[in-house]
Amino acid sequence: MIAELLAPAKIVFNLKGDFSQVIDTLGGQSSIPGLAAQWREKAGNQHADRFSYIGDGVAVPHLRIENLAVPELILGLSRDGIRFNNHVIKVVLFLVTPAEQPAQHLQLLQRICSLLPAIRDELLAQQNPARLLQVVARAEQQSALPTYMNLTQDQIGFELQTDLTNGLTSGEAAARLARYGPNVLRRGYRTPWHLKLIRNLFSFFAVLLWMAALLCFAPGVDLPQLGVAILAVILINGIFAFLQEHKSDRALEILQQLIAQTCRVIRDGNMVEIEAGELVPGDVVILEEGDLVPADARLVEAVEVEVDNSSLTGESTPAHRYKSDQPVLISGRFLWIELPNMVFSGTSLIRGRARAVVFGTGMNTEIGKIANLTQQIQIEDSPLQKQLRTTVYAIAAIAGGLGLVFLFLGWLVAGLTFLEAFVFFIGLFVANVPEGLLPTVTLSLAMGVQRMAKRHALVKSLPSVETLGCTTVICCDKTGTLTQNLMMVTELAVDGRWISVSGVGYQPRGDFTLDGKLLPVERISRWTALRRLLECAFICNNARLEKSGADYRVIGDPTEGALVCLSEKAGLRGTHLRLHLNPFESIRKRMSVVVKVDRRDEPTIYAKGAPLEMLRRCDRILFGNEARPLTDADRKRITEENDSMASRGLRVLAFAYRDGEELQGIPYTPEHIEDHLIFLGLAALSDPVRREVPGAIRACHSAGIRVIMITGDYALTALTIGKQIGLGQDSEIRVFTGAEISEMDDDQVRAVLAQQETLFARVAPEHKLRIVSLLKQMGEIVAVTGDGVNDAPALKKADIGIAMGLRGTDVAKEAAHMILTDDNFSSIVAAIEEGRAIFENIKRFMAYIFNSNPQEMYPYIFWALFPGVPLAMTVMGVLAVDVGTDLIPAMGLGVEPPEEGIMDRPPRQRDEKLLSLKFILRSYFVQGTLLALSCYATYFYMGWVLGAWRPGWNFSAMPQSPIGLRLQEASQAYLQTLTAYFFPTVTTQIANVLCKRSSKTSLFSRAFLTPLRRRDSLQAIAAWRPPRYTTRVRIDYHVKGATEFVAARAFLALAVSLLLLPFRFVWMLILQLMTALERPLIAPFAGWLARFLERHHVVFNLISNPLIDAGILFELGLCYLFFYTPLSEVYYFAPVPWHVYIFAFHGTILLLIFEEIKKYYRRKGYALEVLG
Amino acid sequence: MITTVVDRRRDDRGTPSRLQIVSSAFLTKLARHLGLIACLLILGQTSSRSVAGQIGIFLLIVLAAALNATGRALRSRFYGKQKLL
Repeated sequence: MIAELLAPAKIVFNLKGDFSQVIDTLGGQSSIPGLAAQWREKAGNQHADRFSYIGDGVAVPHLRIENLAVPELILGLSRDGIRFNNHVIKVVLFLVTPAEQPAQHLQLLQRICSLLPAIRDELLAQQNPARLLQVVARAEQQSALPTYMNLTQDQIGFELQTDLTNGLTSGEAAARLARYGPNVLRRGYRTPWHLKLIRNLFSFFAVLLWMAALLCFAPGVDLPQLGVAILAVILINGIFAFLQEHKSDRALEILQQLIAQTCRVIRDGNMVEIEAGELVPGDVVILEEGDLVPADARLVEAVEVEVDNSSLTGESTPAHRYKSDQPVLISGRFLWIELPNMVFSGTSLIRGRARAVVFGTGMNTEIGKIANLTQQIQIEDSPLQKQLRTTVYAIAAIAGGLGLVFLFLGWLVAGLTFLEAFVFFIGLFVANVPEGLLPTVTLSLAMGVQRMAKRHALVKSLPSVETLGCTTVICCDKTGTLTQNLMMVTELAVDGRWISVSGVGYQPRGDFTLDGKLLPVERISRWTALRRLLECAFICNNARLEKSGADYRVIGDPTEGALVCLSEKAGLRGTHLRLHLNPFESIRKRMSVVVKVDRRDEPTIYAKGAPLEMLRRCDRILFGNEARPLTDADRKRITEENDSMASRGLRVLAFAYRDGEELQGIPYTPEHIEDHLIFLGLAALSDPVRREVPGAIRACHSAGIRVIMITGDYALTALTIGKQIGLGQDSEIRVFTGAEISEMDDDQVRAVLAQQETLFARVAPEHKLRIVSLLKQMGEIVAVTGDGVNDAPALKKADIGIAMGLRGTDVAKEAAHMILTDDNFSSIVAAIEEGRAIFENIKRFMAYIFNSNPQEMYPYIFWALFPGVPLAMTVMGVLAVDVGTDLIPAMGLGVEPPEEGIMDRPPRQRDEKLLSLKFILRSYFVQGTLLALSCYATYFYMGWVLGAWRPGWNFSAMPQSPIGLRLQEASQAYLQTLTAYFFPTVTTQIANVLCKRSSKTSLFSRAFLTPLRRRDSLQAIAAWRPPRYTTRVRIDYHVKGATEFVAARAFLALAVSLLLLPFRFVWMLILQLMTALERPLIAPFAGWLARFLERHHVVFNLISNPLIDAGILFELGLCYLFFYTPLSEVYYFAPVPWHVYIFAFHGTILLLIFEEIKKYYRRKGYALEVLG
Repeated sequence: MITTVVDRRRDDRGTPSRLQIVSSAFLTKLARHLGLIACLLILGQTSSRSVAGQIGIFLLIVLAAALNATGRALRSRFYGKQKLL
């Protein structure tokens, strides 16, 4: 933070002169003209102290300047010292910040004031600016140094130029509102509405309509009225689509919802309620229980305040906040949002009341920064999107080019009119462009989404489904994802002895074991120190256990819940009266209660907290049955016990108590009662690993996926969990802390990330974002888990952002691509398996769709190139193939579940082509040609049946196309040949779709379906019963609010319901009939069918994908409509004798044989790629 | 009293049913198919060999637009405004 803002040119060694000269010297180094004069003008003589924080030989003169882009820091050193107002100053840092960002100003000031005194001597020892910067950078990362200096309220009021008692005046507030802007989250760049409208007016479908409209005005057609009518349809269609699409950005909406709408504020000395958007820095706000915090603010008064920070940090436990007016260093590492005397916009007060002075509003709040980060990150296209776009463009270009060549050949060479040749162009174009591809891919992904939902992964963005399949690295949290997100006491150290505690979750049942022997409850109650420790754990506690079904849940903090559970395991019962509570505070690191336990008259103090902190507060120890002074040997032993527990990644708590008459009459404040305590012992808690995680990690390893743990927890805890779940695959796991990676440059971090598996502990969200960004730069496909608002940027940056459904914040869920409904790591692995299956499915149905193209193309090529050859398939025939065979069966291939062994291969390469030239050539010239041969065989068979053709004769003997392709004038014989060519395109595709379901396993083998899928399907068949007819649920309209828009929708819904009434009535009759037949007929039949299919696996294989079966029935049904109904006049077909239909199935049989032979050799290890 | 209807066709997890997904894809595809047929019918008017008149073609286009809008509405209902393929 500070090192980044300092530059070597802005460091001055050997400052000389008085303070005023020093200001001139430092101001001279600044890029801001007249800086020293500006400071002098503001500070004057009276306020110089306040404008220059001074402490421990360090001065920080500071100034806020309007329209400054970034803060500027100028550092000066003087070994001899400079005298200023009775101080001797050796380090001077001139801080200049943008006036528009008071939050940044306060944060920098508090950070600088804590850091510089700590490294003052080290800085003075430096001669070189670069070395000095290294000292500053290193100090910023040192966890031992305090992070912030607490400024006094007086100083805060001065910095914000406000009166903490009377607040701002109305005039000043209005001026500040004009300067700082309203307290709202601003939206980033959005596509302008007119561009969205234009995009909808030129969608693929709209372009078709444009073409139709333009054709109406073409010479020779001359249908201007129709053209105008079609233009109106285009306009209405485009506007409708635009209105559907025109929705606001949900992420920002959710963030905005977190901010209060109104708030109470002190203005002109009076409390008034204003719109939260009108809040400005310097305002003094009043907060009460239940209020949403409207802006980032510093508490100036606080009574029993607890805040819910979960929207910012994801931390579900309420945090205590209090007023702190002492100019002290806040010991320990704190994030800005963790400071105990601050409240932040987007959080809420769940207890207490407070008065706070606002320092950050709108986009300058912490939540505003997150909104900004989230909006700045560009959503990148998934690999599949990129490939499909390229593929479709390439195919469209080839098809268009080919169509144009033949258009000119037809027009200029074959003697067709231009419009006739244009029909020809459309035929070739439609034949080649796989327009069913995109809907089928979408369906395949949507089906994947559905299957993933059943495996606890809700995918929000369809392309992400496939991206999951090529995931190479999973960066995941520890708590709740790898572990169960509950705490359990597993060990106790009392009287120098170790006791193990067993149990499951929060169930209050478990055993105490000492030296491998069970410790009965009677012995526990006789062991004074142990009994007292359990009593302390139970009483010094705010949580309770609640039975929830067969399980128990904790109301309150999980750690405290674990302690209640521990006490209940020992059968602890009893009542006590709580006289006072000193809540846990992160600065004190302990809590205490004063209670009256039954049968004792005098009060007792029970305390628990961090072991070393507690040990410092104890002077006695309860050893055996009596308290004695705590010796150095005791302290050493307890410290070793603590180290031993902590080194195994366990969280350790110490317990102590104090009683006796001396407590009568003393105030129950922490300073008075949390001292001279009697030490009881230690308890070690752990968050157990989820049972299924080690297996899921093994699955990741066999699938070539690396798992990187990124946690905010301690390194040792992370390491222990990492070892338990099997990270590192038997090799040494390395752990890096957030502080360590902050000191590394990008190349060093990349080197770390290139290692097999790594753990990152004590990391902040910005570290997570950096790790994700670098992994992506390294070419990895990264899946990242997160739950807090501040995880949102990393989630959005990742290829797959995964939010936790149970404990994730709304903002994290909104930024993520996928939500885990059970927060479980193994669900990610299941989702990856589905993702891989989807890519395989897409490849399969692409092969299927491309195989049918040559059947549609060859007739045009032969007709155009060889005079006298009749056209065997018309444009309408091509369209019929497209709608009949390309869609539903292809969709059936898209929903095939994962094949066995799919997780035993490494992830596919990001640049692995979905569609290569080899693939197209194989599809066209091997399988496609084979299918086309079958069509021509049936075509000639029809010619033979008609008596027009005999073996050895050429094409010209077949019934000829009408002149100028005027199909209304076509002969019946020609139309029959069209049918004979068309029908095999359907029959061969039936075999094709069945064979494509597996690349290696025979369709006639029992192994075609995995045992799990076979069992599930058979169970579903046996258990199938007709659905019950239910009347639809009706909601009182008035409950939903009588807005006009809703009323219009309700009216439409009513109209549609009325229209559908007859159909619904028929449906009701069918369902009621089936219900009546359920017991005598349907249930026995379902059972018989399941048994039959179990015995006849080939039949089961053939019907196990209902969508494929539906597709086959659909295309056969469509054939009937095309051949035997008035549609035959639109599509130009005529019925043929029954034996021609039978003959057409020869292609089905030949293709099945061809595919089975191919699969046989593939199972033997031959790739046979050339055969497709 | 005006009533509105609760959509009960979604499964328990709020994901669309297979029938709905297939319908949305099929309707979009059918709309394009009808659009292409309309183009061919307009071309057929040059030699008066089209079986449909102007009103027939117009109705075909309206039907195609309605099918396309329904398919798109179904899709956007399930997947919001996210960028599809």
